[in-house]
Amino acid sequence: MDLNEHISEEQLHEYLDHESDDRARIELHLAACTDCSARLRALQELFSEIESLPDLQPSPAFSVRLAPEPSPSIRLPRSLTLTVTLQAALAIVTILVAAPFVMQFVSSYVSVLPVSSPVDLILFLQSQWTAGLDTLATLQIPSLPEIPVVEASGLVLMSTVIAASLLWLVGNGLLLRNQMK
Amino acid sequence: MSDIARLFLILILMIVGLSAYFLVIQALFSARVAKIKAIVPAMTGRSFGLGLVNVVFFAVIALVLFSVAENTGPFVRGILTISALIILGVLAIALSLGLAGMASLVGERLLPDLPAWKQMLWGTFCLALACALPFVGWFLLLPYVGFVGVGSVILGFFPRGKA
Repeated sequence: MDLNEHISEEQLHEYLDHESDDRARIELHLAACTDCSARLRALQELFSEIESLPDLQPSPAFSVRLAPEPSPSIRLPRSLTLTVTLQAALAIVTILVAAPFVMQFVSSYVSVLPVSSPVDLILFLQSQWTAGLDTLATLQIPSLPEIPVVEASGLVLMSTVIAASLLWLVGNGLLLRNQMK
Repeated sequence: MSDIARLFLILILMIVGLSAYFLVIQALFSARVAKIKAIVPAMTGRSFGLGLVNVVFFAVIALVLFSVAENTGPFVRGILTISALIILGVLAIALSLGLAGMASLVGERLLPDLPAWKQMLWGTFCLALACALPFVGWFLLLPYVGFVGVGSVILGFFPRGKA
């Protein structure tokens, strides 16, 4: 840095943050240059004023204002909505008309399916529902397994406990070594 | 047929119960569950090891306590049984928190755009169904998820030191 050159804004900030490598030269220039020393004083006053301001907590309304706007729901064209509705209605009518024929066709191949008409279908569904309810009523929740009681001598139990303790100590020591520092 | 229907019903009831249980755990211990969710992807292997070591140790201790309690007088038997039950209780707490975190993590990865409670619901549903799969689910996935969950709960209690 040339001593005759004025100090740039960036150099002044670095000087104030104690991050400048040219501190001695800057101080030499500041002692000689009233312009730069006035800029430095102005910056110092600005920062001390900022630091003296109280800390404020943002209000809940502020975070709501910052939240992104919900994307508007996409409205389909009226013609498309009408077409889809008509298609759905047509599909329902087709299913209703075709259902008896399909049932007859299926029941001729699958003998176990006891359905041949809509009334039979309802009866079949009702019987399945009743069977399901019966199953639920007689539901037996599996009992908890009994805790096995180990029939072993004191020596075997002691060695098991010691082995498990060693495994626990070594394992935890190794796996938690970075966490414990 | 009735056996299959019964198993199916039990599975459905279990999934519904587990979903409610994990949702309540997430609501009551949201910070702990969030911590577990952060730990598992970062330290999966370490969580698994810690879970394995601690579950094996505490299960062995509890079994030994039960076994010793069988051959002692009523007073000592009571003390030993209560101690074993406390150990099993602590394990159950760690397992509950760990599995809740794992279910939430699975939900978050499968459906990242859903709200947290729906992620937990779907995560529990998928995890429960996957763990109900014979053999692979029972003996591989369920122990893995359980050990990782317990290990991450333990890791969550230790602040990370400087490496």
